[in-house]
Amino acid sequence: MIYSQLDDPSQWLADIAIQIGATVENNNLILSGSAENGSIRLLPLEEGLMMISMEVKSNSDIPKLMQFVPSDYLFMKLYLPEYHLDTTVRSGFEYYQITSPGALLYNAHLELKSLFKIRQRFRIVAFAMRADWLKQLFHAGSIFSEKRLFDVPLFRFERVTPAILQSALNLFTFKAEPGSDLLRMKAIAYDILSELITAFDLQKGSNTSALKYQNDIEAIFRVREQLLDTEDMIYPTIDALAKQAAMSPSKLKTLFNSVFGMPVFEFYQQHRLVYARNLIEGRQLTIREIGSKIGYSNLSKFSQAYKKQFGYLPHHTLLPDRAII
Amino acid sequence: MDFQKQKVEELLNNMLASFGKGPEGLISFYADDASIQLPFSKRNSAIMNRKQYFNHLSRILPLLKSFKLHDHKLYATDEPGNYWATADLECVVIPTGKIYRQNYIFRFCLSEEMKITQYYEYGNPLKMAEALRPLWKLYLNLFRAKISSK
Repeated sequence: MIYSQLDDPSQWLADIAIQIGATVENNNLILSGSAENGSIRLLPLEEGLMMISMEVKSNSDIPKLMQFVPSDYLFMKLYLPEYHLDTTVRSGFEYYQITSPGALLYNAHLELKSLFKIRQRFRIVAFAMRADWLKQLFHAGSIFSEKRLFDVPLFRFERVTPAILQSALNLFTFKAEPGSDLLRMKAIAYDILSELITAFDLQKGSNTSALKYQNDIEAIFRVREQLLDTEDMIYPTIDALAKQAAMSPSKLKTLFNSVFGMPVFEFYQQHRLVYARNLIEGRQLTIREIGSKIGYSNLSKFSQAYKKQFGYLPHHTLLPDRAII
Repeated sequence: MDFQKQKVEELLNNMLASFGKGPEGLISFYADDASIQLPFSKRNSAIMNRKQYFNHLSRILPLLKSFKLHDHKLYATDEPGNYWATADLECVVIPTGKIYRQNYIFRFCLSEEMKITQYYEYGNPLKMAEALRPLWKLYLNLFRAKISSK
């Protein structure tokens, strides 16, 4: 566990630091012995709920640190503008790509793999909530007492308001020292948490209703698999997908959005553009050929969509500062 | 305005004590042009004026019983007249029958007359959501309270 009622979070940090060869300064875990390489700050909000703010460069200590993440925690992670990174989420045999700022809700059954860009720092603000704490706090019937939240892989990605992303960025300007600065950080943390709950609509519990029926989930994953098929990149109609999944088009749209956090077409669009980027990086085809392969007969429209997705044009993909390690 | 800490402590103490006694006493601690915001509460996250806050308190406070705000601490800031404070709340939400425990964080500014001109209240939204659930019962009682007050 991250820390228990009897443990001191500072002690936990010190123990982890020894395990991964890091140091601790002012409640910050300093990676690779230098703040320049990155630091991780833990802010316990209360028993079983903490905020984690990370500012690191590409760093091999992060995977080491992940070994200490317990299985009974639920996480809400904010990917911040300017500082976000491409992350692949693996759930069983499924993969999900996050390439834009927003918030990810997931549990420890998911495998996250991030791609770091050379010389780029990234910042992430996350909330970790212990299952025991949630189960103790929330009574039967509450979505947080749902056994499935912790027993099966869970992930949902949501866009959040720019104001919340900015609030999260502001957290990096405070020192976690006792006094009004710390209270200010806590206040911002609660503010962000409140917004995230709204974003995931946890209060209504409607979005987790999708997790109740395993058959529906499997059908939705099959639809996703079909959308991820790179052999035949023709966007099928919602009606056709719904027929294959043996559900109504409206149910398909709702469930898909609930599980993957975005509409079907948006998901397909993101996927095919990521595939296009992989092809560009593979240097086997021209940009026009790649556009055509993913369904764009018009090069200009392809470039437009590509820029909207990644923030740069297809022919800028191979510039040195975009190299991925 | 740089007040003696003891005076502000006293004010905070009196203000927190008046929470359990109804909205009339509590609102007297606020300046006429005060702005109030409860950012962690989605329903009340917009800025309220004194009258709106009074109406909010009039709806909410009757739904709570055994109201105890205790263990408060005051923190002065570098800006004169600006303070942060924390206090623990324990009460029963009557419509849901649940105990609501919250560690509140307050931020407030004081005028020369020692009236609150700006007030922000923060707390763990998960705890609040759970204590108020099921919401329909709460809304029904809020509606009934509104009808009976007319």
